[in-house]
Amino acid sequence: MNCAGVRDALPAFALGVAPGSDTASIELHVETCAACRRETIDLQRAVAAFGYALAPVGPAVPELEDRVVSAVHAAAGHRNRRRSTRHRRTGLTLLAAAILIAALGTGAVFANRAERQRLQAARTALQEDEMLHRFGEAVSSAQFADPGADVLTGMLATPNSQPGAGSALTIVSPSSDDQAIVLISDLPDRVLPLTVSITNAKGRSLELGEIRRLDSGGGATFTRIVQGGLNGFVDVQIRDHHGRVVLRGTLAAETAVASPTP
Amino acid sequence: MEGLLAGDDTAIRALYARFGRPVYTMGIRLLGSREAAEELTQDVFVMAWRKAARFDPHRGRLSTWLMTIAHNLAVDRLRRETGVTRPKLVLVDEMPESAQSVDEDLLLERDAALRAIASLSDAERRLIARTYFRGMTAREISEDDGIPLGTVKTRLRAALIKVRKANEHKEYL
Repeated sequence: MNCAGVRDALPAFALGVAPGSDTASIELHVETCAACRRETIDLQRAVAAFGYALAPVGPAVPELEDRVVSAVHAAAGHRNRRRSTRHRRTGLTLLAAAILIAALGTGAVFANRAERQRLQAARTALQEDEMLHRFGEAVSSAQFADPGADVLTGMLATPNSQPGAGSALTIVSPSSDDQAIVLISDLPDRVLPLTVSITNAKGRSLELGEIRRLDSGGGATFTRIVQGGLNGFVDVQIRDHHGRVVLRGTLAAETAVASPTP
Repeated sequence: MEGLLAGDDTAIRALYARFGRPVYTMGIRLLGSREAAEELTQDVFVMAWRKAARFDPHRGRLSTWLMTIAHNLAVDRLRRETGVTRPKLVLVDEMPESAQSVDEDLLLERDAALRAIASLSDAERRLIARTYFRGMTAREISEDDGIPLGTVKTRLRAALIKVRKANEHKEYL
């Protein structure tokens, strides 16, 4: 989305009623466009006044405060416990973090702009946490309990310094179906639908499926069970609806974090 | 915010003391029941904790940030629960404040809200009511009213610019 498109959609965005696709595009755009960011902040400030325009009601029950505190504690405790469990179980999440940090760092270097680096740094902690959580959930849901499985991982990068980052993981099991997991972030809705494919050294390509929706951070988690087997398939490509490569990378054994292909 | 990030009791309670009431009010006025308002209030503070690392004071005030979270969650619920009867919208200028004590921050915010409402024409007020308070999109309004989408967007922008001007130089930290 360009500046004109963003300005057109900004009032609805500020009022909280923009379509999801617009929301993601605007959030992405305002991180790199100072003028649109200022406009967004101005409109959001204007809109915030409406939050206090509702006629006051009587106070909430006194117990609500304790329930709020408990709810925050529960959420914090749940996340901490989940992290701890994941780390004990496979150690894969640490690797995923390394991949994600590397991918996000690469994005900042490509952008080569102080402003983008500052913004990227501010977002990294949150993105890392959110994507790490999703990665952990995906790995857990993959019933990853096969000690004989080979795990390959790698980060995905954009080919032309465009916004976007990702990571991928395959689990190649001698005793059950193989699995592919792909995490992406920072992509605009205009690239949808995305096709995820993986290629082996002989050039044989497997189309794993499509990503049709992105969250507000331009991200998605893609998982696929592959009955035909993923042994030898290491080159991951994510293409937009025109067939253009949006993200790509090469997987390697989990002991090393692979570099992205150019 | 660091305290909130750490899940510190004092920080959570301080945030609740300042914003609990307007968030709860939003829940009652938009969603219509005490139960829904209490759920919304809990959800808002949990979401604030989750997003605390993202809060940047250079990009906006804490009250704007928190009320935006509250509003987005309320609108999500409004749009998800179609067919539920919602309460009549009652704005602050239609109902005098009761004698109960209200802190100064809240009074200042309400002043800004009153200025915002007063700056709008009746038609603009209705438009804001349908979007901000009822969660209708510009496209839905366009289809309901049989007017071009671009016209709705233009009117929304004009209304927000009026509100912005009404509160210009009135910002406080």
